[in-house]
Amino acid sequence: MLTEPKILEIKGLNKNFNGLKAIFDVSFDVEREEILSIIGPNGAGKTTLFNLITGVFPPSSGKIIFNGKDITHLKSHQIASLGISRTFQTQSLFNSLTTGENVLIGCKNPGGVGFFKAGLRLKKCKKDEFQSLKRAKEVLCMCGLERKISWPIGSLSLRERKVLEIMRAIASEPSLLILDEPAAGLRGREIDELMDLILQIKRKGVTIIMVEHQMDVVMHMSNRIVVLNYGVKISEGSPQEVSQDPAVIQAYLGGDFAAIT
Amino acid sequence: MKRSLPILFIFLAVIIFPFVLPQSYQSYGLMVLTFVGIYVIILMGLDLILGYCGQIAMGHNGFFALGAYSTAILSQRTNLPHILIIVLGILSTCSVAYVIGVPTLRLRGFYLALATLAFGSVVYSLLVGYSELTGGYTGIRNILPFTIGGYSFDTDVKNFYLIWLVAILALLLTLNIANSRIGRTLKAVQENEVTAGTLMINVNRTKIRVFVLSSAYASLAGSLYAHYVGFICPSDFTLVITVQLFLMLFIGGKGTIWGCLIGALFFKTLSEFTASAEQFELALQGILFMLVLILMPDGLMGRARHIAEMRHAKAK
Repeated sequence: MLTEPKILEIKGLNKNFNGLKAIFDVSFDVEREEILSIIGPNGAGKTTLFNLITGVFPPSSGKIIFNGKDITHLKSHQIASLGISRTFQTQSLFNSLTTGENVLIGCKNPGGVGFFKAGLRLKKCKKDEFQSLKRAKEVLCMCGLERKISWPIGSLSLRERKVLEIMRAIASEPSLLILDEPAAGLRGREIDELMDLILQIKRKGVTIIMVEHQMDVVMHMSNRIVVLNYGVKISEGSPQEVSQDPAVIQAYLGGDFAAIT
Repeated sequence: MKRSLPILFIFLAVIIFPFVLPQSYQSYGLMVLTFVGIYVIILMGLDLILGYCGQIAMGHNGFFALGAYSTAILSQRTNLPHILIIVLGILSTCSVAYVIGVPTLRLRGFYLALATLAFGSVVYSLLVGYSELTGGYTGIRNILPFTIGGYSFDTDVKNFYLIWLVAILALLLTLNIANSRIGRTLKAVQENEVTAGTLMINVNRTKIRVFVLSSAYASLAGSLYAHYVGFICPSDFTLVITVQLFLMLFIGGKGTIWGCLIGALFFKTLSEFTASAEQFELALQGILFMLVLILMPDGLMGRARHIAEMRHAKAK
């Protein structure tokens, strides 16, 4: 029997920005339906890594393989169509659109609706509007935002915006979801609710890669952790393994502290 | 049905307008409103690229000229049906827009504005310079009125109806686009191209398509303009036209489609009064533009929407 390929394989990835090595020879695999966290001090290259995977800019060298398909040099919209969806570290909702429309933007376009079909309001376009709206409502119901479907983004709380961004990302039913600091700025119960939501998404068979600075969240949620420092992978393993790795302790707490312990 | 109500209203207004106009103002009033119709057509294309997609395209005087001159030249030198000539004009304008759009739409903000501005100037220089075809500064005279199936639109009233019929059809088309997935896509591209890309939107293709589509509106308006006025020359297609288009769009409110109608109507009516200021007319328009940008950046339509939203919020 053929074994299913890994959902994501990163092979010897490099990214230089004018000589600065933002990512240096990073390799790791992502297993199906796991939550993989990527941690590291500020400037470690976590967001750069996400930008490389989602095609925001191309790597200097190395390979990214998604479901056995080489996506290294694809454009971001092509990568998204293959089933990789993401959120951003900074707020990236569209302020000129309503809550519902933000989710609609994330919905697939199976009818291939373009200017022509939309302009003449052909059957396919009406069908697309109907189906997309149905999907958007479904997604908003998952997080209790369905009541606010026609609200402007400006009137949502930070928690709601963070949640909405994830909802927009999953509207296209991706197989891999990349979350860049989903809990940033949230507190206590808000974080717990968000984690429940992420676990709920995972249970639907979505693989999740996440960058997060709240360590309790990372330790609690992750199946595995990859640690980056100055663009280099310094550790990989289960939360227990990583938290006891001397290289990780050194990177986070500094050499002196590591020497004392 | 809610959406088609205002269109029905406009349709009826257009039909009865020539009848309610006092006899002494008949030809003057019709002329002003016919020009409004022509501007509305170009403006809707401009609103899609500028108001919705956020690309500062300043070469629409060039596309307008291409439509007008293709109609003028082909209708004088060939016996092709006028409708076919208009379509040919649109197709060739779109091809030109595609060729200049592919490299320039990679530019952003300022740079795109300058590149498209340069395009408009190039078209103007060609109209002046390539005089065997275009008649140079003196332009082209005696362009026949639009004729279809032997029926000629040779009076003011007929032209008024023709141009507003086209404008209303274009309005329907544009509203359909604006209220669909495409409208949302364009707004997403305007706000954040990187985010749009990660949401399966092909940003470059979207920008090029909307640019080409918006050039088609300008070309169509140019063709109708040539048939209606009967005489065109390069000075009808200078940068001033683009500036006036921007002014109308900003007065009406960009990114609303309806703002195109309001803006064109307001501006043309107003400029009938400011025309008496003669050489200071442009200066007055410039001051008006500044005032609009400072006091009412969302335009009349944006204001109206804002007020409606406030009322709605209060009612809650």
